[in-house]
Amino acid sequence: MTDNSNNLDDKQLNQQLASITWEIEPERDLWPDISSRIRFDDRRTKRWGPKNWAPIAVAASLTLAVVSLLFSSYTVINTQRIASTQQNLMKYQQAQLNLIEEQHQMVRVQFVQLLEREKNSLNPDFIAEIQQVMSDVDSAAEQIKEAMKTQPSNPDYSSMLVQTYQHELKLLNRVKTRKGLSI
Amino acid sequence: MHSDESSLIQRSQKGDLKAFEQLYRANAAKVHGLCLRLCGHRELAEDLTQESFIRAWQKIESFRGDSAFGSWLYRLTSNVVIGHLRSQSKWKMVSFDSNLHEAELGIAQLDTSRGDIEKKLAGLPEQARVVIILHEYLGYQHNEIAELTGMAVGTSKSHLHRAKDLLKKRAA
Repeated sequence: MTDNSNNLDDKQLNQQLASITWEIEPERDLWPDISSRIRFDDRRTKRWGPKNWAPIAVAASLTLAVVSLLFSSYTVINTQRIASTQQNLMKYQQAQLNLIEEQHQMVRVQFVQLLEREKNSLNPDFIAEIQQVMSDVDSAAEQIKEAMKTQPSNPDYSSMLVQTYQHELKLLNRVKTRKGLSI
Repeated sequence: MHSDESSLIQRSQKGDLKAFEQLYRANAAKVHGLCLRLCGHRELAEDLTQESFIRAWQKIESFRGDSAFGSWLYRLTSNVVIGHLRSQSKWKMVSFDSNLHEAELGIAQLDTSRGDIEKKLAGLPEQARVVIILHEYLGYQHNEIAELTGMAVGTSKSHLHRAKDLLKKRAA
C-alpha cells in the first residue's frame, strides 16, 4: 500500500470537513464579563452626553487638580521606568500608586458626602447610577490589583490602574460640573 | 424564530441589554467555536468571544438586516480574531512543516476526540487554517478572504490548495 492510496479524495475530505463540530460552548459563562464591560463603556461614552444634562458650569477644582496630579504622576512613572532599575522602579511605582490611591479615596469620600448632602435634590436613579459606576470602578481596580500580584513587574497593570482612576475622576468631575454641585 | 431574533435585534439597537443577552445566549457557541477554530487556544478564544460580542453591541445600530444576523456576527467575529492574529508576530508565512509540535499549535487545548480531521485542521499553519475555515465553513470567496486577512488573492488560493493537500494526506 502506497502513501497515495491512503490519501483522501476531494469528496471524502469535504465529508470529513462537514462532520466537524463548529459550535463549541465556552467552558464558562462569558456574559457577566461582557455585560460588565458594556455597562462601563456605555456610562463613559453615552450616558453623560450633553443632551442629558444642562451645561451648568460650576468649578470643581479639587477633582480637576487631582486629575492633573495623576497625569503628572503617571508621566513621572514613565520617565523613571526608563532610568531606574527594575527593583527601584517597582518600589517607586508602588509608592506612586499608594499616593494616587490615597488621592482617589479622598476625592471619592468627598463626592460620596456631596451626594449624601444633595440627595434630596437629586434623582434617586441618578444617585444609584453614580454608585454603580463607582462600584464598577472598584471591581475593575480589584481585578487589576489581583493581576499585579501575579505579574508585579508588568508596568501595564499600574498604567491600567491609574487610567481606571482617571476615568472615574473625570466622570465625577463632569457630573459635578453639569449638576452644579460644589464641595 | 426569525421574528424573535428580529425583535431581539431591534430591542438591542435601542439599548436593551437584556435582549442582547438573549442574542449572546443564542450565538455564544457559534462565535466561540469559530474563535477557537481560528486561533486554536481556549483562553484566547474566550477573550476573543467576549471582544466580539462587545464589538457587536457597539455596532449593532449599524445592522440593517441586509444579511442574516448570524452572518453579520460571523464576519464581525472573523474581523476581531484576524485583527488579533495579525497583530501578533506569529502572523507570518509559516512553513508547512508537519512536524510542528502540538503544544505549539494549541492542538492539545482542543477536544479532538470527535475525529482525526479536527486535530489535523488545528495542526495546519495559522494562515492556512484561517483561509480554509473562512472558505469552507463560512463560504467566503478569495477576494473576501484577501480583504479580511490582508493577504493577496493568489496567496489565499495557494493557502487553500496547500491546506487541502495536507489534510488529504495527513487525514489518511
